[in-house]
Amino acid sequence: MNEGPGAGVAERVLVVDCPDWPVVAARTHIDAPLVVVQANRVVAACCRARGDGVATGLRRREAQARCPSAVLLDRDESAEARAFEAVAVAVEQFCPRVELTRPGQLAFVARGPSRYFGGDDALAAKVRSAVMATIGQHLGGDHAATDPPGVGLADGALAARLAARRSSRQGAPQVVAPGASARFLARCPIEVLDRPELAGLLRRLGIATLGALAAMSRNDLVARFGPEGASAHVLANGYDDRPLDARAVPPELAVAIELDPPASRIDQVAFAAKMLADGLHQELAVRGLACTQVAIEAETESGERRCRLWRHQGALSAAAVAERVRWQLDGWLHAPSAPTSGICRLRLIPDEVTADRGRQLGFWGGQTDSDDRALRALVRLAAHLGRDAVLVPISAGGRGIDDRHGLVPLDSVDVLGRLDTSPTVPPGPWPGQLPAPSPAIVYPRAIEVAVLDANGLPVTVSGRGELSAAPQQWVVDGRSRAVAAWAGPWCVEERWWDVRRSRRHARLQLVAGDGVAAVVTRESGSWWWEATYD
Amino acid sequence: MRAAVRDLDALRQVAGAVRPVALAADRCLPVLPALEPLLVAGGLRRGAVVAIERSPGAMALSYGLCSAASGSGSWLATISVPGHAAPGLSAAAELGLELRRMAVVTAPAPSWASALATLVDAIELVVMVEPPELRPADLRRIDARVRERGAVLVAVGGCTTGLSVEVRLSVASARWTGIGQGHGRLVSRSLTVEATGRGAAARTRRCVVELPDAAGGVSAIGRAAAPEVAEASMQRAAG
Repeated sequence: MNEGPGAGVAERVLVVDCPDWPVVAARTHIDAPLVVVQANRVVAACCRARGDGVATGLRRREAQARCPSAVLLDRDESAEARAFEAVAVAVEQFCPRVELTRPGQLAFVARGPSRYFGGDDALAAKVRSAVMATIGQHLGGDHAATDPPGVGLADGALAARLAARRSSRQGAPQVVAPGASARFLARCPIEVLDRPELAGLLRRLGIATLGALAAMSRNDLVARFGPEGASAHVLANGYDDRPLDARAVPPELAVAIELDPPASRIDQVAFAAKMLADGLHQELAVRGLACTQVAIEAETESGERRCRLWRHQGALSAAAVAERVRWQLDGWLHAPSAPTSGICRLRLIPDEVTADRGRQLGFWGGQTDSDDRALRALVRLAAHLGRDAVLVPISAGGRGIDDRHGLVPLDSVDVLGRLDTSPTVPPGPWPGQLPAPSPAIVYPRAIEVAVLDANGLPVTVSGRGELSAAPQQWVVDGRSRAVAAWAGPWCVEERWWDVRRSRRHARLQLVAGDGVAAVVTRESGSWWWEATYD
Repeated sequence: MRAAVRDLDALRQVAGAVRPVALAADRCLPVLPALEPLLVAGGLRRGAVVAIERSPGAMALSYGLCSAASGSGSWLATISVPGHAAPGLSAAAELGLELRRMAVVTAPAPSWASALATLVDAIELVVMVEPPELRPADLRRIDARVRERGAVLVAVGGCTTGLSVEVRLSVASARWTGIGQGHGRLVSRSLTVEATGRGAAARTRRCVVELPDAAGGVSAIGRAAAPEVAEASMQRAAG
């Protein structure tokens, strides 16, 4: 933790970045704007949808509002991985050690290939045309849907990624000269670090660009933000975010599993991969290590092999490793050169490990992993049962029995976002509402009841708000309950100025001999059972 | 006398040294102090099923049970059949539930079991209200999943055959105060709750609480406050 900025390393890295890869992978021939969503958030959109203001991270409903003609697709990560496998194979012609960050983005260390192919510019141009050709083949010539793939070459992975993004917009490869990465980065906004919380905080502290961040003292950043601040400082200086203390990986950490009988279905392999990854993680945890890059090697019965490197910004969890195994095999098994027999051996080789510094969770609570998990389950349930079947409370206002809180469909609320904010103070004070305690059961549609007096006649409320007689029993669906205690009536007259929405009613609290307590309302000549104090 | 006290101290030290590192109580979700006497572990044990008999007060009791855990960051979902009564959200908030970590799910009877399984997978507190007739096999599978995921399933009313219910709560009596014959209003309810269960919880436990109390929350009646007062007066007498 005591390296100065000068101790950073920056290899020359070439990054291929395909913007909005989920849209490219979807490859539907629909002549409408395409938007890909995951968990009610936009993850990718085609050019036409972007032109209408659809941005990544937008909520589903907002995206629909901005671009009503858009077709919304659910994200299919294995289809993305399958489609990207072809790109990875194309880039492998230039360098055998290709690192995949995620479907849509890959990188390799460019020093050797650059010399072989005649310089940085020549290499970048060759890679770009190879990738363009592959994607063209995949799409069948329909290229206008998204921005073209970008190729960026620079010192350090961050600068190369940004160069690739710029290249995608400009339609030509971008090469940042050796040693110029820090200058290239200096004017970039702080958000490019892809750490929204840190970026938001730094921006409020007046640090808006990477240049300003790089000019700060590293010690100050470490003192305030811990390892995250240190890594941001290294990145801002144009060095690599590869852990500086990447250490030699003990060879015995590699784990392998023999599949007998050989597995021909992906889910079988993925299941084995999950167990294997769990084992690997336990081993790593014992040594206090976290894995940032893993090589996944699959071998078939007839000796075909496919090995890929997968890299992750933070540490790869067991689930993330299993997911990448699935992606890789999906791509391989569905490629034109698919293996001829089942997979009989799977190996996970941690390629780069770093000391596990853990993760700093929110200081004041905020979001946690369980929030994320809960939201994903609820979104899945809403997709299964329908939008109106999964509701979440919001605070509202009103004098009604339960008007201070409303229920709305899950996708109309930023469920995780509002956990970070302090609870909103409900508008009030709403004179005329029933004071606490509130009823624990509220009927969506009030039930009609008969409230009778000692003579068996219906109890009525006069225009002056007086009861005709003391209630003695109330009858629902032929079942009669004796009134043990009662209070009221309380009259409420709402919105008398609005003909359509005006409401005039009187409330009564009734307690039956068996302990059931209820609120009944007299409105338009009948009594309605609205809620129960259950 | 002194020697006895010293022995007791030594004994306590030994007990502390041999205590297991992870106590059963560590795998518990907290409950409000007023309701602690009902549960053997002093909290909602993860993986347990709690059944509440259908009676006046059952719904409020289920909120009260979940209130402390919900306040400390656990998610809560209620599941019921469509058209059934909705949970009173104001009452839930008054009883201490964190509404920002709450979801209200309705599922028709045929997809109830799969919806419940999805919820139990990811959400720590699941309250099922008046479940429809479910196949015992489905319930057994859900029971296993609750245990595996460390969730707590609270069943309000309905049939629980197939679930291994750890604690069964029932309301023995409910009495409202503050309301008379045409005067006053509902202010608070004193609820006598009985708990029976399996194993260590087999002995019937009984607890009287104000649920809801005048502020809509839960408070213990008398018993909790009394020992403190007694202790204070004894100390004063000794000093």
